[in-house]
Formats: sequence, structure tokens, C-alpha cells
Amino acid sequence: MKTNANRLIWRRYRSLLLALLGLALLFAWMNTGLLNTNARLDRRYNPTAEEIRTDKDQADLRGHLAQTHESPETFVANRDSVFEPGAQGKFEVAIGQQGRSLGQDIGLVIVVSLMSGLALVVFGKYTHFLEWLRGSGLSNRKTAWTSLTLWLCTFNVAVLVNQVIMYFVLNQAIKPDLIHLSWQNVLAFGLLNQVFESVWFVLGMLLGTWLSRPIWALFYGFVFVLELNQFRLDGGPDFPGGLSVQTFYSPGQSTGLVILGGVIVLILSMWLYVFLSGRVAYAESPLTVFPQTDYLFIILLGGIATSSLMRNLSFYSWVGVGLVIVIWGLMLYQAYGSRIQRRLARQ
Amino acid sequence: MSLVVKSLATSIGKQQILTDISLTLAPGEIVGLIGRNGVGKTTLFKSILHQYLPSKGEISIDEVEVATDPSKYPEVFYLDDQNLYFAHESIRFAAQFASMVYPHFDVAGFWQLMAANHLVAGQQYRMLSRGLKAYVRVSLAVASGSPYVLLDEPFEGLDVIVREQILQLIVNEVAEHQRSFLLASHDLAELDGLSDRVYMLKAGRIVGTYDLESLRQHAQKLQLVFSNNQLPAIVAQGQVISHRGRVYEILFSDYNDAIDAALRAEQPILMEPMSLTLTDLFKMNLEDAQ
Repeated sequence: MKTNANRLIWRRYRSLLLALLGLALLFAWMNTGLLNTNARLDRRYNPTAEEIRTDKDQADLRGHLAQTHESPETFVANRDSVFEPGAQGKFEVAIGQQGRSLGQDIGLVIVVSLMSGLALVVFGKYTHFLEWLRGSGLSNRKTAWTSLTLWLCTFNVAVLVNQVIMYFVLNQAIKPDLIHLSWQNVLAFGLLNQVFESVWFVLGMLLGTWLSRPIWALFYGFVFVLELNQFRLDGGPDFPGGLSVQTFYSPGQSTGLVILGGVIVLILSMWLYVFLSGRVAYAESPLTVFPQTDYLFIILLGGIATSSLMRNLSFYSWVGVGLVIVIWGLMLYQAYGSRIQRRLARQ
Repeated sequence: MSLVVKSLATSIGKQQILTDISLTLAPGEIVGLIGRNGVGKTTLFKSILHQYLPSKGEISIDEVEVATDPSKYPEVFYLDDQNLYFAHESIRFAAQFASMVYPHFDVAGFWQLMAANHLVAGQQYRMLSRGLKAYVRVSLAVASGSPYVLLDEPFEGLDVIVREQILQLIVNEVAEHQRSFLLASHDLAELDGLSDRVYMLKAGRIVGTYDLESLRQHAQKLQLVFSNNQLPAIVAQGQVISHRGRVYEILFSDYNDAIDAALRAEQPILMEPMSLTLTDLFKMNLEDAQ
């Protein structure tokens, strides 16, 4: 007597997974529209400040800098466009409006990937579906592997759809003499994105499994990704601040190594998800599903909140300070609220 | 052929909820599980299905240990009414998913049961009355075809009509298909007439198993009034279930001629036999705890 895990999980999650695919198509279509109507193609030199000073071939750029009263250092520091693969030599090709890239923002990619994985696990917990599956003849490992495979595959298809559409649009929009989207580059670029986004997706699943209360897990996930992206909670997002866009979006000599590392992290995360899922009891506890890791969670969140508070203080951002205090208050309420209420009721 | 739980222990967080639980559910039996709120009845059901992972013990279904072969789980039907997978879905959704899990799920039979109460597929479960919700859950249990059914408080808050319908469904399934039911309930009067055996759960342990019929053969509950305020020593052989003024209700679990003679020798003003109910057992254990 075998229960069909794929069928059960697909039936329960299909609306969410189809919505994910639909959103991927929608975003790709939106990007296409933006590129077709508003994109500005920039071809410019991409030298270091030192090269600008010394390279005789770049007299025109130095002339431009003199005209705009911009120093080589400022010019280099202000570059925030996404480097497209295949850019030749010291050229940087950017597509965007007012210097902002229309390509995928690394910070946004992290938010979407992590929150997608987290949301799928939270949905299963909140609707008690995962709990019910436990008693339906599926082993814990089977449930975990099946959901992981199904969700990760759908997520990768969504990412792939987005990338393929972007690739064709870029191919149309960029003159071939400016950029070479060779198959090797496209493959490296694509693989890098797939692996990178998959890692964040599975980390989201892990976070959702580890945190005990579903709705609070979403809250904490959001705090986590915002902090990871160095969102200062003062109304000023600073997504690429912590992680270099180029590191992940411009394949170079170390791309293969980065992909390999990413795959190893992905496999380890997947294994950890299955391992943890097999030990989750689905009994609601205040913080994490394993009480012995509660302190780890408190340390993690305490660190995040403290670092955010210090940063806001250093920027004199009182709105940010207020927000951090509110988040601290909510955390304390979630962790100790019921305990305090019980104590008050006893008095 | 039975559901056997051996030395089961479960902790939630740092708290030990169940300790050394052993019970058996044989085909064609209706077994009661009684205990005060919070003693671990729901935890026991969830532990049997590994929704809560037991820290110790064995659970076997028809002599197959489920830890090694979880595919036996559809042999046991259980729905936690507080945490239902279809709480925000339609009745159709509940039936579709149940039919994917329980291999002998009787789809036609389920819809017949729904039609008997004018329930239709598209109705949202959360919009139903409490009684109809219980009826849907028990109907799913009946249609599942699982030989072992665990029901948590199936009669709580139900009107007479729905209660009667549910009782009828349970009795029919036991009589016609030799299915077994483990009923956790506070409604002791209902269990009294229904169950073959009763497990008493207290502080996470099974403190007694009562076969009501055999108990009634050996036990005797008496209403006694003695002329002076002091109870005679022989009363210590029984257990005081309640007393109002000088009127005592005392249960003697092993009543015999010697006890009878000793009581009569004390010349009680009133010595009246009373019928033994499950409530008496429940109260007796409650008194123990206090």
C-alpha cells in the first residue's frame, strides 16, 4: 500500500507553484517591455582609476572627466551598472535607465528566492498539510525529498524562464560588436544564477522548517533578508551593499569554482532540509522546532537587531531606530509573550 | 491483527507529555480513552501516527512496526480537529485528498453520507456548524475504510440528532466491518454504553484499564449512611467517590461476602446498591490525584 507522494504534494501546492511560474513570466515580460521602450544602451570604458590616469588610449574619457569635473576615483566608485558577460576588454556595457540596471538585482533575487522557499514550507505548516502527510503512509524522508524536488524544480523552471527571456531580449537589444553572448558565457551565466538562486531558495525552506510558528517564520524571514541586504530600515534600501553584483553576475575565471561551491552548498542544504524535516514534530513551541536551538536563534536575531540598531544610530536615522525597537518588541512578545501572560494570570 | 502501542513516551520541547503508554486495539472493538484536559490524549493520537515523534516505544499495525514501514499508516485514520488539513477548504477537497491517501476510501459512500445531511461538495468546511463539522470528520473516517479509527472528542457539543447519527455510524462499522474505534472523550455517559474497554490516562500515563462488564461483575457501588459521623474501618477496603453530609457513595472494586457481612455488622442506616458508571471510575481516579 503506497501513497503517491508526488500526486499529493503537487495537488496541494499546484496553485502556488503555478503562481510562481506565472510571476516569473510576468516579471520577464515586464523587463522585456522596459528594455524595448526605455532602455538606454551605454558603452563605456571600464578602467580602474589608475588606468584612467595613465592610459594614453583613453584620452577621450579623460576629456569627458575634465568636462564633467569628475575625478577618476568618483567615476570608478559611481559605477553601479550590471556587467554583462562577454564585455570586451575595458568596456562596460550597461542597459538601464539613469545608470540603474534593468537586469536582476542581486538583493531582490535573494529576497524572492529565500521568501519563496520559506513561504512554501510555511504554507504546508500553516495549513497542517505537512503534519497530515506524516500520518498518511509517507515516511518523513519521502515527504521531505518529494516536496524539495517538486518545489526546487518548479523554482528552477521559473528562474530559467526568466533568464531565457532576458537572454533573447538582451541578444536583440545589444549590438553584437559590443557584447558577445557566446554559449559558454550564457551557460556560465545561467548556471551561476540557477545555483545561486536555488541555494537561497533551499535556505528559505530550511528557515521555514527550523522556525516553529508559521506566520512568525515569515516575519523573521523578511527581517533576515532585509538585514542581509543591509536595508537600513530607514526607507533607504541598499540592496547590493553587502554582496557585489559583479561577483555573482559576471562570469570570470573563477566562475566554475563558484558554481562548484554553490552546488556543494546546495546539496548540503538539501540534505540538511531532509534531515531536519525527519525530526520535526509539528508541535508548536515558542521559537524553533528544536528547543535546544532556541538560544542559537536568539543569538542570531539579537545580532541582526543590534547591528541594525548600531547602523541606524550611526546614520542618525531615528525612523530606523524606531523600527528596530518595534521589531525587538515583536520578537520578545513572540518568544515570551505567552509566558508573561501566564505569569500575570497566576498573580 | 491489531494496533499495538508498547511503552510509548513522547516529549514536546522539554516537557515529557507521555510516559510508558501501552495499549491494544483489536478488530471489532470500541475502546474509550478518558482523562482530564491536558493529560495527553491528543498527544497520544498524534504520537501513534508519528505526527509527534515518540522518544521511546513501539507502534505496530497488524504486527508490522510502523517505524520501519510507514506505508501501514493508512490502516489508521485520525484527524486532529484543531489542525485539519482542510480547515479552510471545501468538503470536496477533504474527500479528494482522503481518497488519495486511504486506498479503500469509499467515495460514493462518503457522498451518500453527505447527502443524508444535505451537505454538498462545494461547501466550505469552516462555514459548517460544529455538529456538521464533526459529522464530516466522522464520515471521512467511516469512508476511509481504515481498520483502526482514532476519534478525539467525537461527541463534544453535538445536538441529539447528529450525536445519534455519529453513534449509528460507529456501531454499524464495528458490527458490519469489524473495524475498531479508539474514542477519546469527556462524555463518559456516551462511552459507558458504547465502549468495550476504557483506558484511563492521568498525567501522561495509563493508570488503569477497565473492562466495564467484568468490573461490574466484581465491583459494587454502595450508598451508605452510618449512625455516627465516623466511617467504620471496613470502608477503607473501598473508595469514597462522593459524600454529602453523612451520605457516602463508596466503590468496592472487589466486593465479596466478607465485606458485605462486615458492612452489615456496622448496622448502617442506609445501605443501597447503585449502578456503577464510567463517571464513577473517572471520579475515583480524580480523587486519587487530589
